[in-house]
Amino acid sequence: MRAGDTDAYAVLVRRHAPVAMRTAALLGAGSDAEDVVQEALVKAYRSLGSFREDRPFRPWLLRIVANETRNAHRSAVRRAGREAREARPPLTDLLDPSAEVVGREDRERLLAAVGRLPDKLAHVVACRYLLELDEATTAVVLGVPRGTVKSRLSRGLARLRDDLATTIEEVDHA
Amino acid sequence: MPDALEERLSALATDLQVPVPDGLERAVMDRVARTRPRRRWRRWLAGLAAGLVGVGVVASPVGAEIRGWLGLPGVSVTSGDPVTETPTVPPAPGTPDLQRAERLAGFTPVVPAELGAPDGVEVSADRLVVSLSWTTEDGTVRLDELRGDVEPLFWKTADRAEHVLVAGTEALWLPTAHRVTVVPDGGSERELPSRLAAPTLLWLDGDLTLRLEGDLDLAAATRIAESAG
Repeated sequence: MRAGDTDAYAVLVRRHAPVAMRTAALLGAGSDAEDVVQEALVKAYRSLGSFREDRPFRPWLLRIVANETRNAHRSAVRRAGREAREARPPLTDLLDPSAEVVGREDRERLLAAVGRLPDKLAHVVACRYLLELDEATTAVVLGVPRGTVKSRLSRGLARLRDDLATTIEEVDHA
Repeated sequence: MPDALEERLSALATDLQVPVPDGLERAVMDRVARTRPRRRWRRWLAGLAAGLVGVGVVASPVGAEIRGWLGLPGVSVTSGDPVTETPTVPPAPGTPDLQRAERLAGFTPVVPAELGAPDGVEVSADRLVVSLSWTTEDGTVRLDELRGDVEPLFWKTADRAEHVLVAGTEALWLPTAHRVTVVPDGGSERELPSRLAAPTLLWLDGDLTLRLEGDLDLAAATRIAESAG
């Protein structure tokens, strides 16, 4: 291994680590996010040999992150049953504490509602809006056809609307 | 036009904070330094730096950023120069024992009614891919089946690809001979040389990615694919 190669890869790691961390966290890695991302970045490096020159790095890396997140989640569930799932921190923990206070409650409510969606719908909503990926990239990252992204997205949004409407109603009646 | 909910979700993105832990880069690079080097990746990285400019012939509006991933789970298709040689479709060499294949691979292989019982059935050494083959008037027809998961197993370089529908679901048709490489998962136990593939139809059946290859036109390939359900 020549030093130049690893230096080049270090640049890629630096550039993509932030979005990789966000992806792992939003797809449910919780406190495992760092391990998941580390594992994904090492796997990505090992697989670089099978690439051709016009291969884009980011969607491919995020797909590995998504799969590692799923694997980590699976093994955690195997290890500790339901507890592991329930122990995962809620998405609202990801809100920047220094963000403006106005509207914070609204954002927490929205993020909590995303967290209540079934995983498949939550992941599509997270990729499209919280990671700001387009539909095609979302399809790559989650490893599903584009049509599936579209349908899950519309189901996810519909559920969120219902959920938020219910929450608001409950608040009104309280 | 995004509606209010979509706008609120998009606004949330800026308020999310997921810091990169100190030492992540170092941990990754330490592990990477212990990994043996792999072929071709310098060339790939050079291409990345050059701006991801592809040949631009893959028929899809998804844009350059995603061009290398026009595929279905387990398959990656990238644009490449046309090839003029005649491909040979390799038959699956094993005995036609579908139960054994199912036991090894952990899924029930799909058999298209249009083709009937296969002449050959093969499960890859890593048990990820089940291949069926038939001897027909048009030469060998081959169907590879895999559960698309972590990384693509088939890298394809094609000069043309089009999205089509098979039984109402998205599919990909590669009408010309093209290069195909079977890639192992990260490790590298199994690495087959690139070969020239005949026209290929890729589609999904549940969580299986199916890859039908042979001297077929789209109509024939679609008929076979639709008889698989």
